[in-house]
Amino acid sequence: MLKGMKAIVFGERDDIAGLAIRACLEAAGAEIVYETTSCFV
Amino acid sequence: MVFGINEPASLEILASTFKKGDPSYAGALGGVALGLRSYHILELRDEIPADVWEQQMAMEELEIEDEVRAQVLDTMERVRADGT
Amino acid sequence: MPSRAVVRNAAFCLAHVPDLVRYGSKPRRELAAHAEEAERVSRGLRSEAAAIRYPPSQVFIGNLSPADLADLPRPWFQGGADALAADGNARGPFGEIAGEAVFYGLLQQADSREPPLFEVSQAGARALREELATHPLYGAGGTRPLQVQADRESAWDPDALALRWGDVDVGRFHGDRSSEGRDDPNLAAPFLLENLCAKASGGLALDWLLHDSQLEPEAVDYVISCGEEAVGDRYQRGGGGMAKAIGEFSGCARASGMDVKNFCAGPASALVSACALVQAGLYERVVVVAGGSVAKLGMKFQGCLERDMPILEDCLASLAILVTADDGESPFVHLEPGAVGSAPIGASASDEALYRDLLVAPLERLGLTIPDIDRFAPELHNPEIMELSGSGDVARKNFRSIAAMAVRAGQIEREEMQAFVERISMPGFAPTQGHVPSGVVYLGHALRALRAGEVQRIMIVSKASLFLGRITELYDGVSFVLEANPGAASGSKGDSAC
Repeated sequence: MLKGMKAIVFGERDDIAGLAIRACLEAAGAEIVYETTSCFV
Repeated sequence: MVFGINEPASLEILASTFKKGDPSYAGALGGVALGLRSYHILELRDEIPADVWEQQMAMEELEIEDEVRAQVLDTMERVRADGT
Repeated sequence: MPSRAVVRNAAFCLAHVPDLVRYGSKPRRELAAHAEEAERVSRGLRSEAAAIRYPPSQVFIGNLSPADLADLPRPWFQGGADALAADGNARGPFGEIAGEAVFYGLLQQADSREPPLFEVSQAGARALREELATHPLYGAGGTRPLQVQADRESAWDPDALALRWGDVDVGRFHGDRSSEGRDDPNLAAPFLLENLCAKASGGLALDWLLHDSQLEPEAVDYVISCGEEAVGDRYQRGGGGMAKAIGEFSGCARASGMDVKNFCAGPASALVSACALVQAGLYERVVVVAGGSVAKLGMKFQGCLERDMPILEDCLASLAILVTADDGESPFVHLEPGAVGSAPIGASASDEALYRDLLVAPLERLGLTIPDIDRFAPELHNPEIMELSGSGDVARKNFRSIAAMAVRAGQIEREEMQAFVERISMPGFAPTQGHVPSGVVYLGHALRALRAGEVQRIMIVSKASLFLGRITELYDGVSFVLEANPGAASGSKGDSAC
C-alpha cells in the first residue's frame, strides 16, 4: 500500500518522533516529502 | 499524512484540516480542501517491514495507554470516513 | 582516589511577574497583531496571592511534596486555597515565590549599564522600596539589603518597554542606546529584557542557595549557568557570560564561570560537568545556576483564556545547585565510566534507542537495572499547563516510557508494567520554563528523601530538542544517578517527598 506513495509526517517529541516514522515509511517504500517533529515545551 | 501525535483532539483538528481545510479559517488552509488522507503511524503496522517496526515502534506501542490508543484509532477512522 | 562530588543543596525560586507576560514571545506577537486582545490578557492574569497558593508552586519551593500534589483534586488553580487551608507560603525550604515588585528591585540591581537599561520612575522607586523593606534577604534587616534608586527620566523612547506593577508605572526598559547598539536587533529592549531577567532571577536562586547553605559568596570557586537565553550582540549572539553575571550579582567575587548550553538538558549537563570538575579536584565548590525565561511567559495564554482559566505561565523559574567535595553526608552523583547516560550522535531516533542509552546502558555499568532505582525524575511539566497545548500530560508519558523500557529490556514483565508505572509516577509540578522542568527540578525533594534515608537511589533523566535550532535533526538526552552518601547515618526524619 505504501510503496511509491508520497507522505507528509508530523511527529511529536513526547509521543512518536518524526524521524522514527520516517524510518518506518521509507522501509515500506514510501517517499517522505516533508517531515517535522513538534515540541511544545 | 502520517501522524505520531497521541492526542485525539489535536489529531482531529489536523486530519480534518488537511482533508477539508482549516475549520477555524485562521491559517493558510482556511477554505482550502486538500483532500489528503490521514493515518496515525500505529495504524500502519501491517505495511512496515517487521524488523523495522520492532526497532522503531515496538516500545511506542507499549507506551501509549490502551484507552488513548483506541481513541486515536477511532478519531482517524472517523475523519477519513467523514464526507469526502 | 579522588574525592567524590556531592550535591549539597539546591534552591528553587519563582518570580511572579504577571505584567511581563505581555513580553513573552507568544503574547508579544499576538498582541502586535491584535491589540484588542490586551484587555483580555490583563483580565486573565493572576494575583500574587493566587500564584503563591497555587499547589504546583508550593511543590516547586518545597512546602508540599509531589505526593501531596497527587492527592489534591484538579484543577489545581481552583482548589489550591481550600486544599492548603491557608494562603500558602511565599517562603519554602528550597526558596521563595518573589512578588513582582521585589523582582523589579532585583532587576535594577542586576542592571550594570549607564544610562540604565531599566529606568525606574519616582513612583516606581517608592513602591519598590516599600515592598523590599520587609524582604528577609533584601530588606533593611536582611543579609544583603538592596537600595532602589529613582532614575533621571530620559527623553521619550518609542522602542522602550513599559514595566508596570499593577497600577504602578514602575519605569521603562530600554534597548542599547549607544550608537553601535541602536540598529542591532540582538540588543533591542525585548532581548535585553529577557537576558537581564535571566540574570536577576538566577541571582535570586543563588542568593537563597548561599543563605540556606550558610555559605559566604566568596567561598564559591566556579559558577556554571545553564539557562536558555542567548546573550550577545550581532557578532556573538549566544556568546555566554551569564554564569559570571549571576555570580557577580550574588557577590561571588572569587569565582569564575562559564555557560553550558544544551536546551532542556542544560541543567543536567551542567550538573554532571560541575561534579566532574569537583571530583577531578580542580574546584572544591561549584554552583550550577539557571535564570528564568521571559520568552516562555504566556506561551499557552490563548488556551488558558479559551477555557476561562487564569494565565498560569506568569512566573520566571530559577534554580541554583551547590556541588562540593564529599562532606560525608550529602548524596553523591555516580561518575564511573559509562555511568552518565547520553544520546550518541549516531544513535537511532527511536524512543527505544534513546531510553536504552539513557536508562539501560548506564545502569548496567553500575550493575543495576531499572527496578533497582527508587525514583525517577524525568521532565516534570505541570500537566495543567501542558494539556492546553495538545501535548497531554508529558510527565505521565515519561513515566510510561521508563516502564516500557523496563519491559523491553526484560527487567519487568509486561503484566507488571501498569503497577510499575504507578510505583514510579509523580505529578508534574514545574512551570513550562524549558530547562527548568527537566528532571533537576526534583533535586530539592530528591536530596531531602536521600538524606532522610527514605530511598537509596534516584535517577534524573533529561531530554533536549536540539532540532529546534534548525541546524540538525538530532535530539539529546542526559541522565545520572544520585545516591545516598554511605557516610551518612540513615535517619528516618524528614517528610515523604513522593
